[in-house]
Amino acid sequence: MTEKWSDLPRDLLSQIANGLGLIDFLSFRGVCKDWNTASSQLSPDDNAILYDPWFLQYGGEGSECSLVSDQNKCYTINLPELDGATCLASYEGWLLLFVDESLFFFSPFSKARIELPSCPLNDVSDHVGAFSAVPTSEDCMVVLLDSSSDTELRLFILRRGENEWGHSCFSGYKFSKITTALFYENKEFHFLDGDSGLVTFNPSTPTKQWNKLYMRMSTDKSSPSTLLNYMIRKNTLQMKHDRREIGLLNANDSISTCGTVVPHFSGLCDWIIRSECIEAKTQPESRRLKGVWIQPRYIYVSPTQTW
Amino acid sequence: MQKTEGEESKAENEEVKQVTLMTSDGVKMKVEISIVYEMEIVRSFIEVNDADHSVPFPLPNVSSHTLDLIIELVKNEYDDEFMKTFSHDELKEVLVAANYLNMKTLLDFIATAIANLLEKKSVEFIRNFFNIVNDFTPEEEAEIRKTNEWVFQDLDED
Repeated sequence: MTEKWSDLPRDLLSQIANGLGLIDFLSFRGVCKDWNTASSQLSPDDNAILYDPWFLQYGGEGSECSLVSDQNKCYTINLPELDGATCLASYEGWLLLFVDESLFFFSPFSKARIELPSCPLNDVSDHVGAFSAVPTSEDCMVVLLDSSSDTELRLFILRRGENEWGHSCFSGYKFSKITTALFYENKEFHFLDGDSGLVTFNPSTPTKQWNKLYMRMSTDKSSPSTLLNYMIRKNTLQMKHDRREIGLLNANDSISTCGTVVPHFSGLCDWIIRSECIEAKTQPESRRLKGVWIQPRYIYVSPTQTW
Repeated sequence: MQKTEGEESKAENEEVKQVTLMTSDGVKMKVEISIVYEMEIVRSFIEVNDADHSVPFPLPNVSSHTLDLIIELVKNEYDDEFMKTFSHDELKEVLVAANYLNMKTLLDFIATAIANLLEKKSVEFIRNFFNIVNDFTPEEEAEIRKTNEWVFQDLDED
């Protein structure tokens, strides 16, 4: 056989490309035309890359962002889409971004973008979001929670294909601070409130959609409680910063981050990386930065894809 | 270890059974049926036709050298160390042959091995390594680099 590497059948090239991590995949695409074509509609699904999310810092100077890999290598990446934006949620490589009173899904490594209709928010300050599945999935639901009041939570919900946001309110409790949201076991949205509070919202039950619970570490299985199948990681950036693994922050920088959910490496549960706020150590504060934890996935989406 | 009914015990009974394969360079090779069964293209033929195993099954797209490598790989239960002795051309030929013979496990194994060779390598390195001609126009190449500038900041050159 005299086939050249550049003449391999497309499906074989695709199979090789499918096993590559993000950076290797992007290099693969730049080798030659055939390799580029063979990989042009792939979203590689290499499981090894999913457990340790990367960190993307934005909001510094225009569209210039910093990307830190799981190996703590830092890259400078230019993402005009993140200029002036706030990330409300991050899941499976997709970011839910708010900018100038509009909302859209964005995959920073493939630049895929899906616009959401009629944003119900004018600004985002005390808002947190989550989505139940990737935005190309028929089952995708997006929720946005306004927690600016400590006695009433306001929730907006949009199902895939819909144009109008639904809304729901929850009150009667004193809430502390909700910064992290996720979709739990294909059933309900969870909002982590302060250190141990948990607010749940089940979009498919017409009555009693909301619930307020307390989380605690427990080895006692007899008590009337529900075991949550996730582990929560707090202060992820702060710890990496303290250990000098990530050197993005100056003493007079503050940063607020958006967390994500990844599979725990044990394979037994999910791992929730909480959103966090790090205040400037010294004054005057110079930069108010933002950041988001993201799975390093290249996601191909057809240009005709819409919400 | 307990053997399950079906496949395993069948393979045991037929341990001595061999199938003759005829390679592209005209070599007749007797191959253990357990190995042949991994080749879907041959297996489906044997099963449907209950063929006389002494008549050589033609493999016009696989050379005797490549078939030797495949047999050794399967016999060695896909040994990484053995595979590392392959030249790039041998890797590629085994990949193409595994695809032609429809050997799922071998195909996954080889594709992963090739993906591992590409890990953390620069585009220039990959082109040299696999002897691939860069057929992008300078404009196209510049565009690709610009789109993912950050990727090219830091890669091994060797």
